[in-house]
Parts: sequence; C-alpha cells; structure tokens
Amino acid sequence: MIPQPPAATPELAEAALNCVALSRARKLAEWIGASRQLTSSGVLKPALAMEACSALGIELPPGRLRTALDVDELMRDWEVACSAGYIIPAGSRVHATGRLADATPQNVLRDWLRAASTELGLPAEPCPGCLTVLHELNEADGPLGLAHLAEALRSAEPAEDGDAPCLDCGDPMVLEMRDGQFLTVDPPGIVGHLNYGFGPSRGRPPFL
Amino acid sequence: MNLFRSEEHARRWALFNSQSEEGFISLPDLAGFFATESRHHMLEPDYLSAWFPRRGGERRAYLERIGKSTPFWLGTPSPS
Repeated sequence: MIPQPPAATPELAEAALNCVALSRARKLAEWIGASRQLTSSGVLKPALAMEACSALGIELPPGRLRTALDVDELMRDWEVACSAGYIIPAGSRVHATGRLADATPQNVLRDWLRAASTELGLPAEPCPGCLTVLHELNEADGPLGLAHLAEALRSAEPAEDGDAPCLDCGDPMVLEMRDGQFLTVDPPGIVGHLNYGFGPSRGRPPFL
Repeated sequence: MNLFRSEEHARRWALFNSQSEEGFISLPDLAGFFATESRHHMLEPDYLSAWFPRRGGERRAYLERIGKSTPFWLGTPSPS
C-alpha cells in the first residue's frame, strides 16, 4: 500500500522521520553511502561494523568483534534500513538508495510503513484494513469483538473503490461504493458478465 | 463474474463464451447480488453456522426477483 493524499500529510511524514527506528535506519544508510563491503554472511565486515556503531552511537560488546551479527542494536537498524528500502545489500557490497533523498510525505510514509510491516510480520504491502485493525487493537484496553473491528473498518474507509482494467481492452474501470450506493462508475456503461452459468460447470475452465 | 467497460467489450473479449449472452448483469443488480442479508454478517462469530447455510437460498431468491430465473443463473447441469 502506498499512502495517498490526503492521508499522507507533512505532519505524519515528520512524525515518521522522527520515529527512532526510521531515524536510525536513515543514519545508517547515510553512513553506508555509495558502497560498503559485506562478509559472505551478507553483513558489514567487523571493522566496518565498528565504524558504523561509532557513527550511530552504539556501544560495542566487550572484547574483539567477530561479526556484526553480535551487535543486536546495529542489526536492528540494518533490518529497518533494508525494509524501508534505504539500503540494498547485493552480493559482497551494500549501497544506500535514492529513497533517502526522497522526502515527499507520500514516500516517507511508504518507507515507514514498509519498515513497520516487516517488524510486525505483516505482508510487504499491508492493506488499509490490516492497519486499521492493528490500530484498534493497539488502542483498546482489552479484547475486542469482531463487530467492533468491523465498525472500525467501515468508519476508516469512507468508500470502497476498485480500479481494474477491462479484460477486453485493458483500459481502466473505476467503481466507488458506499453503503451499497455507487458513487463513481467510470465509464458509465460498466456491466457484469457471467461467462459460464452457475452450477456444476463452474470452474471449468478453471479461471472462472 | 467479470466486469467490462460495456457489453460490446465483453463480446469482443477473446475468451467470451458465445453461449453466455444471458450472462450480462447490470451493476446495481450485481451489487444487490453481493449484498444479500447473509453477506452483512460475514464478520460475525456465528457466520458459518448461522448465516452461510442461508446464502444459497438468498441468492436464488434474489436472482428470481431480478428476472434471472433460467438454468444459466440458477444452476446448470454438469458439463460432462
């Protein structure tokens, strides 16, 4: 999901940028810059990891650092930077991406959302419904019923809309509904069509 | 069920079944088809036990109400 205006406000983007996890991930990506060398495990070489820790203010574990994997704090920042799309490890090198410089509210919130989704174990592109349910559960003092969650979903999404290409020509069709009423039908002539009748023949061919 | 920009687009579709001329349904009718009573209870804990069993009957009644009471809509024989 890519947050769209008006939801992607500058205020929300600023809050995302001030979020500790994202802020640290950006700092790590800035430090990585054009290219840094990786070990065969796909993490920073120990000497580089020490430099990165210094740049991020991370206290190193006592003794000789054998691998970056031993520094939990650094690896958390690394994961967030990867999830947000700020860095891309590829083979023996890692580099920062152009997303760091892309500070439009929409893109900042997209980066934050991707990082948060990974942290929560959600799919890469969580739908607005998933996020609404998580928000409701987080705000609640106790268990919530499905009816409450359904109402929250209904309130959070002012209208159901669909944007899909026509199977014949590939041109877009847009439908927007609220409370059973069509708000947008574009083009106005959109029709439904059942290519094979209901009954035992359904599913033959399998795409229907 | 598929959506097309118009009936003409559906008929031009490469996979259009020539025996499905009666398969067109207007958007308001289609919306109603997917909004029968049981559909409003899909998030309730007893949906599978209390509401899902009613769905078949609701669909049939709705289709008959909008004039789609042919075997194509109400049930076709096995293609074998």
